[in-house]
Amino acid sequence: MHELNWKLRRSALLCLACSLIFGAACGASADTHAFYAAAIWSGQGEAIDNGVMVVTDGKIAEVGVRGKVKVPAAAVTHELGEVTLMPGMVIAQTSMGGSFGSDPYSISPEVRAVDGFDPFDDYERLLAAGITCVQVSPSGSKLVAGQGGVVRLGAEPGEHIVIDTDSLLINLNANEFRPASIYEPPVGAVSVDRPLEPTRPQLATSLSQARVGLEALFAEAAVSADSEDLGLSALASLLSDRTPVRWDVRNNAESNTALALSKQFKLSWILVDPVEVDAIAKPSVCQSPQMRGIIVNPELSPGRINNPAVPREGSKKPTPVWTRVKQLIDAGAGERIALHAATDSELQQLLFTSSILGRSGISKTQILSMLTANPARILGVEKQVGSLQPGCFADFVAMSGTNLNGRVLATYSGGRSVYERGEADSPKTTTSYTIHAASVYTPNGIVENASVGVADGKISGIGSEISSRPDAIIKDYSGAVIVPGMFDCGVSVGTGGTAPSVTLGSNVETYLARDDSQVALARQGGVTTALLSSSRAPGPVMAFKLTDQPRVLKDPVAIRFSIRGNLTAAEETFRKTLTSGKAYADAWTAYDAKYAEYQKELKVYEEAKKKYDAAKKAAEDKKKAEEAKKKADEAKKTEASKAGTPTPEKKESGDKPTPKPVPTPAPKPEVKKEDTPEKKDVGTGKKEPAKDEKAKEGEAAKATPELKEPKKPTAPKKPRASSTMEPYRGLFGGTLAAMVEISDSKAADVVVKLFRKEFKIKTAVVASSVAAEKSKLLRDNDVFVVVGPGLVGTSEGKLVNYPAELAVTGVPFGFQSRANTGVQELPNAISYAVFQGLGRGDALQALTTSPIEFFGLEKIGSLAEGNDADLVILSGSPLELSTEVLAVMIDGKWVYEKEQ
Amino acid sequence: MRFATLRTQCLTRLSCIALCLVAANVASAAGPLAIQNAKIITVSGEIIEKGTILIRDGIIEAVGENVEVPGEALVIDGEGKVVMPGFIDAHNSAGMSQANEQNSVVPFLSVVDSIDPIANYFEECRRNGITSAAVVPGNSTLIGGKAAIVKTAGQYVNDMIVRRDSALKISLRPVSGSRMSHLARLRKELDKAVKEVENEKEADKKEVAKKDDKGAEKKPEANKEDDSQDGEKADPKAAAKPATASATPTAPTAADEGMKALMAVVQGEMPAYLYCEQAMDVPSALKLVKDYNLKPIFVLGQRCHKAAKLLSDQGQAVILDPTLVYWETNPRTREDEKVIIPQIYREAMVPFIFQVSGASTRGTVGSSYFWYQAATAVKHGTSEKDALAALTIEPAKLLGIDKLVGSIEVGKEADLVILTGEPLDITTWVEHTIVGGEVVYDRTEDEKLQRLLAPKAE
Repeated sequence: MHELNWKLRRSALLCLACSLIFGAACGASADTHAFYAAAIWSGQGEAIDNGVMVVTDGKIAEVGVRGKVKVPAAAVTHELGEVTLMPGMVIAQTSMGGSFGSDPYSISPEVRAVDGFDPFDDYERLLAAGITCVQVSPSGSKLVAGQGGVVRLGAEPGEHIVIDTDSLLINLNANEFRPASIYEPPVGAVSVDRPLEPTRPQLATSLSQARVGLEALFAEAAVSADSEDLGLSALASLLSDRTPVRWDVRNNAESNTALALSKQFKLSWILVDPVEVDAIAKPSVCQSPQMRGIIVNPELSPGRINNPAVPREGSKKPTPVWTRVKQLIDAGAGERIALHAATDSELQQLLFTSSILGRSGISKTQILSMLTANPARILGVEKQVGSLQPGCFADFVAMSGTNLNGRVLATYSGGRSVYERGEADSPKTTTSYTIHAASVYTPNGIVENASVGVADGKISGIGSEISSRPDAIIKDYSGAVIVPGMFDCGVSVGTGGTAPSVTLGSNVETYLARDDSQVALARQGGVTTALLSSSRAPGPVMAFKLTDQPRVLKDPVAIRFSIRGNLTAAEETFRKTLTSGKAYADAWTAYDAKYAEYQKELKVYEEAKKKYDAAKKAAEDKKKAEEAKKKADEAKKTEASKAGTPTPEKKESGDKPTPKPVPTPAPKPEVKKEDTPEKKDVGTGKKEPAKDEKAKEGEAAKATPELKEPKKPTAPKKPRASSTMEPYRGLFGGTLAAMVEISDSKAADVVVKLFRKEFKIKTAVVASSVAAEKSKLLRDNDVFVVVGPGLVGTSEGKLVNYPAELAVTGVPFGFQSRANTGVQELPNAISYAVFQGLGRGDALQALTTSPIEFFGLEKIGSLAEGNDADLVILSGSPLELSTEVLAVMIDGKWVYEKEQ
Repeated sequence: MRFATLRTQCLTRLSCIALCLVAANVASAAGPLAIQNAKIITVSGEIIEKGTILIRDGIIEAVGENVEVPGEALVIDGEGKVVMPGFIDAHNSAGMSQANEQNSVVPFLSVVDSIDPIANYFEECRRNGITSAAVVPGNSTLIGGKAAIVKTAGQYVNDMIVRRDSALKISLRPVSGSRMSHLARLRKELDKAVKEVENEKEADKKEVAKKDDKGAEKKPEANKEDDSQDGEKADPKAAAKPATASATPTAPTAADEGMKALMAVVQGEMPAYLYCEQAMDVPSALKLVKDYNLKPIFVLGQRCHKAAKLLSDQGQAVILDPTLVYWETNPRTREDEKVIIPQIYREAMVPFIFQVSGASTRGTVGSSYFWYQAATAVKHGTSEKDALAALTIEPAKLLGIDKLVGSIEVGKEADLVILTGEPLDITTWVEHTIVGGEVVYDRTEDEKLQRLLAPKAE
């Protein structure tokens, strides 16, 4: 409710703003709005393509094709884009009117369900499902439940009731019957003015009794208009007003009873939820003037599995709902069939579940009519709701797409937005988006008319039909182009203005500033990832994302070198540096190799040791057991000798128990204790061997050759570690690249000679004109080129397009801006190069995949499933100066959105 | 103006009775009374920083800076004090023995039969500067009976009555069962009354046609709701009505009395207190007002503020719940939000007046005092002027007694309260309360208060 209030306030503000703007022109004119949409479906027939709907003071003034309908100048324009407008759904029966409290009497024609409907409740759940109007009926198991009415859900409370009474609900289905009983009104304080109320029989105990009872009731009501009795007088006025009766029925017998009673008392009827339609699917019934409507439910609730009963032999097979509806349509009830949900909690799925009727060939528009125009007709409110016609309330739904198969994007009541998809979910919790655009640049080529799904910061899918979470925010950038976030090979942004001055071995990351205001500007051009290098050379280079809190991807990702001045001297210096670096790296590589070997050996050793220990222990145990036995024997002997006289007997008796392992368990734990310490067993083993038993000795001798203790390998010696040298291991190991800044074509030769040929390092040169000049050399030696910020220059009076030159030769390259906030200008600079002949594809590749591949970064640079959701939404073709950046997303978060 | 004179006569008569019976207070009533040198908040006009009010025969005779005080007048020195019109309680069920009957449809009942002049409530009223109060049947009812407006001082009920049968109480809170059946019942009763009115008109027409030459002397008076009407005057009418309805001219029964009240209500002659418990009751109430041509006085429950906007074009004040500030949990965000009722209504442009919590619901000390309610509203943005009007002239207007009381003006009844300081200041005491020119409360003689405030004896 709070949310809604806020919305109302906001719309009030909007209205205020509008009136301020238009007030001068038209004075106190009506509140007029014009909604433009790709299609408008009025509730019947075919949709109007490219339509406009004019809404004045909450009611529809006109609907028609754009351009053909005269829109007042003062109208506020709402361009809704690629959506279909359809009438807000009208539900022909719900029980949202509240229930009876402790009111057990089964006849209460006097109550009105609209009295129990709370217009201040939160109905966003239903508005989100596209439902703007519902019939409310009194709920509860009563025979004559009371009067239903029609309310609009999105309307201002107080103006929500469309009609108080549309029908009288009578429950004829067996579920509502009660056992025979007498209703006894509560006995309160009895006084002259409050006599004891008479007891009354409950009428509905069976269908036949219900029928007889209703007949009597109607007959009595017909002559008791002035009755003191609340129910009778209410019924009398309902009968005289010819209020339709809504019969809740299931089977043929119930339907027949309903029809017969309706005929007898000349009432128009509505049947609700008939499960058998044999009695009604006849032209004579469906086209009779008394027929007001038939309301069915799709008999389907997604997520709940029903176990249909196995039909008994001989019994009729139940007809599925779609067939029944088809039969009714064929009998001529077509325009008077409406849908509702079996329970109110299933209402929000109704738009979906209703499509089950399509199984019998009922068209989508026919089904939607059963949710809009038909129920309005049954309820007698077709002049107010259920269709987009002049005079009706402007209650409508904007659905995605134009084929009437979309989802509800927004719901309007009285021309006022009461629900907008995605807006209700706070941006904090939502990380899912579905972004639709005219074309999407993927690694597999450009996909036209596709969507990019983003969930949890990753791309969850690309294509025309992708899955999205129910809370995904749908962003429709029709006509726009989505390209991957761009890569800048050299920036000076992210540190809050200070140049990171770190030596090799430290991290540039320490210089990163949070919430650097420059970053926010830098990324507006579409660059999402960049390289930031230390101001020292050689120094580390880091790759990071231009998020509010810059996210480091790899640090370091490269080592920056700078070749300046005397090349001869420089070459030597670099050779020295690289040699020492290589020596360091080699030492470690060698160590690593040895260490790996050592690890392998260690494993072998450990296994052998385990075996050895096990064998040893087994031998030990055996020995112990025997020893213990021996000891026991000895003990007996001594005992026997001590005892003297009774020897023979005792000997025998003592001999017998000897195999008894009684004494053995006692020493066993001791042995175990001795065993567990590693090498003690060797010592004990030496001590313990029994001398007397030769056989045993032999066994022990047999065991010992197996028991040769394995040799423990020694760990290799570690080379001296040095943090400043550490990056060289990466450099020579191929995980880091060298970025060499050169400003001289000779230097290029040096780079190739030194870095590539001598040391075989993954190398990039940072150069523009020089690289273009030496492009063939660089290509042949697999050198990557970082070009920029100047991309087009002149040489000997001729225009040279450096990146184009590189592209033509086939050198892989990337761009750099060397800027802070000016990073946003990089695409503009490249546009010029494109204008001057650089291929757009090559340029895009150089902005995305090429450098990312070269620097060994993952999960970025292309729009593919599972990659980081870094994307740029452009108003038109990429790298075109006339193209505007509409939005930039990094890691699934919008970091820039063009202000509307 | 016949009305006003009648009223004056009545009052004189009443005060004569009072004079005889209330011996203790006779002294002041005998001659003119003057309050001198006080700051006078007239409510209707400008504040007089230092002025005099002269009262004679219970009526304000003169107000101003330079009012001559006759020699015989009893003088109250108002130096440093503030004089205001007495406060008016527009909706209270405390002055009687029981707020509601067990039966829920009792339009024939009148609170007058239940008002207890020596109830604690009236003593509290005088102590707190309330000089008039509407005693209204409680909220646990459907049609709860007839309310009455009384002065808060008097020995007998009849001395106190300003207006008998001032309004009918209708509550939209379901007593038992559902809102649907509650409203159905209510409509049925109102429908009956509407029908009865039509029948009567028909009968009148026929009678007029029959006795064409006999003139129109029997035509019902335009102002049926005359407060001076006593039993004798009402009786022939009451007898006439059942004559048309049941054709047996017997003594009026309870049902007839009830029908009479309901008929007055559906003809807009008698106002109806409409109690709304929930926000959803407000649109229902407004619909009833429209459908049955009611003259409503809205009494709003705590949670009605969501419907505040709907009440903005009523052109009259609504009566707020005693609890003006409370915390509510937002069902969606699960966050507690502070709801400040006077602020919501002020922003929705709905004028409002206050209720004080009754003795039974005295949860907080603050909300049982009118000054506290007004101060709360001022704290949340209402102007002090509006807040003071909401204690005095606004309820008077709502109850239709603004010609008599509610402001300090010449010719109005002398219902005054003399305060020791600014009205909304927590340190301010009510020094004197004057009803009909009589001092009915004097703090120096308030033994209960003195006992309460006396230093605790060891």
